[in-house]
Amino acid sequence: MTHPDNSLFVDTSIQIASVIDPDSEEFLPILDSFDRKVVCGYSLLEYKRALIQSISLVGRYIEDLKDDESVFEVFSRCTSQYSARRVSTLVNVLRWVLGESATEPIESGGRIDKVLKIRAQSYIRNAIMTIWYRFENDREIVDEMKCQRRLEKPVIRRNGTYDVSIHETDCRNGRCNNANFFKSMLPNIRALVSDLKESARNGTALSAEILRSIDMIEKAMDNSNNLHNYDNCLKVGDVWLHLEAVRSSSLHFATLNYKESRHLCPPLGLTMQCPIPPSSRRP
Amino acid sequence: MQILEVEGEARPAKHREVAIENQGSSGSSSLEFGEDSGFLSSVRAREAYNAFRNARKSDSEETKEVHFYNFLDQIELQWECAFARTRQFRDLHALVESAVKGKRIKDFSEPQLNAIDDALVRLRGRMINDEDLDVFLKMFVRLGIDTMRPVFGNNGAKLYNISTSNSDGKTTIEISEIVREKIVKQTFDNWQ
Repeated sequence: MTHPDNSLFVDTSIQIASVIDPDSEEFLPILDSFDRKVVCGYSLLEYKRALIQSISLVGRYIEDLKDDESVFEVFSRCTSQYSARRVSTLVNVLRWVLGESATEPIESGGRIDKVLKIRAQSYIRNAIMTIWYRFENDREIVDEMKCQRRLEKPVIRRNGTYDVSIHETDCRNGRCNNANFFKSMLPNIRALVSDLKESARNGTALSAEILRSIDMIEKAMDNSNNLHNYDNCLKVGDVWLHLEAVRSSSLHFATLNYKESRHLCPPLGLTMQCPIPPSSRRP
Repeated sequence: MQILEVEGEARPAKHREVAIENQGSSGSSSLEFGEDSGFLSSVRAREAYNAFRNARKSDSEETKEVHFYNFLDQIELQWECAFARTRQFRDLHALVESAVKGKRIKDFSEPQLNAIDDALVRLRGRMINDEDLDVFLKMFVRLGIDTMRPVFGNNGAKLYNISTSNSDGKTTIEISEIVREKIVKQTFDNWQ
């Protein structure tokens, strides 16, 4: 059944989860109950940081292997620079190629090992661009911030890996609209900060991310040009998404990011839509 | 020579082990040196295309399936000669393989089958550039063809923990699956 308010803002956590697990029963019912689903352009930057850069790194590890090194060497690099997502990417590729119960001995630098390398690299390259293009698919995009970093599409290098870097220092050029957007939303921002501080005074434990956001917002109230800085802009990260939701006239905010959104949504007039807690799932 | 021994249990096992035994220099492969690899790759691409076309035009469900399985075999075998082809060819081939492996022809809509057909036509040709590849990446996304299974797994997201141990010159990598519900539960630990 379609929700009467009909407009849902989909935050980055749901966007990423829906790419990783498109058939998830966890959040599909929420998405399906709204006709209008809105995402914001700034999310693409978070997409790149959280997902694309991580997958791309596995491709770089494979590319950096010497001829006599096995693709399994990549595991040791993933262990030393631990990331569950990177390990998962590699394990999934191995399972895809070798099957679920591979028992055949694999000779390092041998036929299977070499095929594994080139196949893994192809899958990873395709995944990077597919994730990038899927962002806009079937979603309405709002982009009040006009983030310039989100326009930086992955670029293929001559060695067959993708350049997925974020040109952080270019933020100082101030070509985005974040400072103007911030000023235009000042009444909402003041109400939000006031509400959060009141909650803190009443003993509510706010996350470190929210506390960092409040601190940065107060600095930006003195001089909004402070926001023309990549690190400063990121500190406001979660708040930006909620402000974009308000600007898009969405009344509902879909997220897996409970710790922040449960505090940010109410003062901005948004209703948080979150998946059903596991405890209430059917066995 | 270094030998990697992969041991594992079929799903839904939570653990699988990869044992690495160091035994000296690397092995050799004749794959990239095969003089006929390029020719063989072209033949496989043509046979894959023919099998796919036959599957689409067959009247009986059974014949359709037979041709489609033949098509899947050709797609898998193509990797044996993929060293002879360009990166763009391999990527487009990987895109098609990611879309069709483990699927049946009836899992696809007509527009999706048309897109796969178009990709197979390009794979039959010699030259594929980055722009061609980009067209197919966008097209597959637009038509909702799932090509992410090699990277994200067959049945949704799975995360893994790995730990290594060494004994007698043998390295064992243990991979354990992190159950998704557990991760979600951790999120809820701070939920009031």
